[in-house]
Amino acid sequence: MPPSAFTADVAAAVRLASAPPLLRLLDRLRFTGQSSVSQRPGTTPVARATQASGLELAAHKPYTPGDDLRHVDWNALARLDQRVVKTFRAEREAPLHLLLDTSASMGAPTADAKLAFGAALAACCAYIALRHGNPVRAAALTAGNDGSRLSPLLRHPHRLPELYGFLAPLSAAGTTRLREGVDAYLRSTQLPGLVIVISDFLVDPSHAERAFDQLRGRGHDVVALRPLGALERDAAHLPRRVRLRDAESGLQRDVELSAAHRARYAAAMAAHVAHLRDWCAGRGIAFAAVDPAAGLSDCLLHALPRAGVLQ
Amino acid sequence: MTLHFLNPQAWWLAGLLAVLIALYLWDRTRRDVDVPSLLLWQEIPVATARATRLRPDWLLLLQCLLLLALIAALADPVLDERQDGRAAGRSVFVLDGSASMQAREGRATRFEQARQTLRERLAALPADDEVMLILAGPQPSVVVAPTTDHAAALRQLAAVEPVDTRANLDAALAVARRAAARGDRATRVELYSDTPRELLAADWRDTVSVFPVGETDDNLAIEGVQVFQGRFEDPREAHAYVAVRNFARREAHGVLTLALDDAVLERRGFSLAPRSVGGFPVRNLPGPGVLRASLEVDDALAADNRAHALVRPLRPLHLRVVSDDAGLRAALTRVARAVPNLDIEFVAPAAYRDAGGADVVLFHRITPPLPADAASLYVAPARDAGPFPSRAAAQAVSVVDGDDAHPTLRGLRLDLPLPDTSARRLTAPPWATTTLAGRAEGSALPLLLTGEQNGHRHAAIALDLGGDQLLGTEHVDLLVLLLNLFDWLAPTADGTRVVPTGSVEVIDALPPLPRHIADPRGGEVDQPADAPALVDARFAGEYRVSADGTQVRVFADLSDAEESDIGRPAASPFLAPASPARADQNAPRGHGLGAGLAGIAMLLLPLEWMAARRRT
Repeated sequence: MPPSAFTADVAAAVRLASAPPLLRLLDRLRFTGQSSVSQRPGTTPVARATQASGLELAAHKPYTPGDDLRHVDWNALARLDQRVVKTFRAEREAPLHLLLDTSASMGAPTADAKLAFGAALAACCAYIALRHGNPVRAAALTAGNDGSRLSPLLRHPHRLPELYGFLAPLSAAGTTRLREGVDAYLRSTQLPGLVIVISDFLVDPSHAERAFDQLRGRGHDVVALRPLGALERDAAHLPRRVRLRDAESGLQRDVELSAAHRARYAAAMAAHVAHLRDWCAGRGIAFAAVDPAAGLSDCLLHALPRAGVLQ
Repeated sequence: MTLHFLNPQAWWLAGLLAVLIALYLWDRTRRDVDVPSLLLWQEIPVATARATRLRPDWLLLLQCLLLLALIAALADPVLDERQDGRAAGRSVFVLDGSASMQAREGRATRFEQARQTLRERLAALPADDEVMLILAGPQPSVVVAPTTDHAAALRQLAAVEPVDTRANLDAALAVARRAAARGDRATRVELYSDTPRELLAADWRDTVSVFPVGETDDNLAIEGVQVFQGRFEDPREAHAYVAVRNFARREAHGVLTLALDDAVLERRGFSLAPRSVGGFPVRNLPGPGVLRASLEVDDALAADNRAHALVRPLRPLHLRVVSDDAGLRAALTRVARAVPNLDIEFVAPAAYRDAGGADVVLFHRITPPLPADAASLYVAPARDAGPFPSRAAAQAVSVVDGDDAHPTLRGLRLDLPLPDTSARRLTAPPWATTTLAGRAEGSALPLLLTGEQNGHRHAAIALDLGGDQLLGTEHVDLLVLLLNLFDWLAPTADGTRVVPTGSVEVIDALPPLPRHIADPRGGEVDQPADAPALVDARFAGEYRVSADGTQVRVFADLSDAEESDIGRPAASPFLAPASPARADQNAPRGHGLGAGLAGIAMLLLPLEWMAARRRT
């Protein structure tokens, strides 16, 4: 197991994500395939949508009365004697929604530091989005009153400390409320955009699928990130006789681990991740299982580009 | 056929079995582990067995067997194949307990090395072999009489310690040989010593197995401390001389500290060339006391790093001379003028009644009875009566022999001719001995008799010291002899002595009460009042003998160059101890099982590994 730079200390992980050397690496990245439906101007090019002015020429169209004469292509008029106007690729803002699972399962095993890594990852994604002019809002999916806790909507990189201040005090507690949390979040925001869900998805698969469907139904692009550490992936480190305690429910289970049992657990974990990946692939949802031990740089520069999230 | 172990201490490791079982039980206890969710653990069956119960377990069994095999291999078992008809043997071990055996060789002393070798040798002996242990000190002592109780012998061996004297190996080996002379068992004698075999007497070289120890020659020693102080000299005018010898074959450095009683006089750093002596004069002594010299060096032997000498207090001597010889009177008067603190009173023989409070009474040519309350010196007693009867005078006397160690002859040159004077033929009383012997007219005669009687010292000189002979420049020896005699006859009673280690000092200046003796190593002995108080100075340092408030201090010094010279002679390189099992035909013969057990352990190892792998 490679050594991880992360501990369970979320605040430290967020500080790590805001370190200047890492931010310089993030400056080269941007989100791919964003199909924003937002009406607010921004810097994200929107496919199949044009606007009268912009940077990227999209097409020409016949002049119709009322068009702005400033957009008439005078060269074409002189050469072809046709009055056409230029249209440009529409650029809108593409809001980024970061949904971070803060249930107790994200805190176990402690050494895997899933929540800390997820928080750091969210901070990095927020930086990338804000640097390209896209608004960001984060939500902690928790077993609170309404299933989520929201950060302010941020539209400028200078407000990143507010996001760091939101993320740093998060702790893993309570049960996983993925569906309820997504419901609550959708009630609170009207800006379709890119939704990145960071969770271990250790719930009934139908609950996760239902949550994804809700997000997609509201016009969001969805990315699912599953922090998966070595200790959770493999039971080899566990002693032979253990009393397993569910971090969320507190239920206990006495087991005597043989080599076959450890292999069976590893297979169950692999099947769980594979099911998520396959289900997401069938619905155009980007999915990536990221290893906290590999570090933020590896995740942002390799794992997420490989999953088609960043470029 | 018996089984015994060459290294039985290894069985202490059997305690690891308990550790192994404890680890097994601890391993069986369940540890609480937090997991994110039990969702993925549903396929793993729930264990219902009680965790802390000791159940038959192949892995544990294999591990126990493996551990037992390893411990047994370490214990080095030997299967002794001796048949019942073979007689058991006897081993007589002679352990050198001399001062040089205290020399450090690395972390252990030579004595400890020898003891360890002897311990291993004892452990290797068959159980029915007899052992005997003799410690060679100044006198041999039988530490363990012949016995088959090896455990008791080991216990006794652990208790013996070396002393700060030389060892009488010849005496110890003679005792061992007498034990070997008993014909009931085949006996071998083994010597554990730092004395090379070639330095042993010829009788022992071929009959004794020598297990040599010791190699280093790294030793600095105080060879001696000598105080130069005349009998009548003020201690502040005395001076001393300390000799330090480097016995190593390399240059040595150290610091010499000189102290008078507890006050440090000076500290001197020094360097000494290989195998050389350095002298350190000490002047300006502040007064009387015990002059202590000590070395601060990191050498192998510490016992010879300190020495003592006495700076005596001023002792005026009152001498009553009973003589009517004008020449002797004149000569002694001039001597008294030259010697401070010598007070001479002249009495005519006819007026003599008693000592009159004098320390020493000198009788010239007369033979009155011994004075009751003073020492006496009879010079040329003229009659065949009295305490020192004498016969006719002899002429042309020459010195034949003398007791060099006697204080009265200190500083004399016995080879010089005596003055041309007559000498009386003295007859020694039973309590006196001949200290100086001469020859005249073809027969021997005592020239000086010394002895003690009624608590006082007495002496007689055969030579007639009348006339002017005492001050003749060609016979200064006579004057020295006379002053030495005064010194010896009236000894100081300051209760402090300096003796070499190994000597037995009789303390006679104590009241007839029970005595308490404390030795330098903290040992304490009580002696009854009716026995003479004896200090057996086996250790270097200060002995305190006390009886009802009266205390006598005895300082014992290891001033023995042979013991301090701890290095081997160049012609005798260090020899490693011979293997006991091969050194003697009486040594246990049998099959060592250690290698076989180690092999079994190696075979068990893959089995244990497979069992462990199968479980996990």
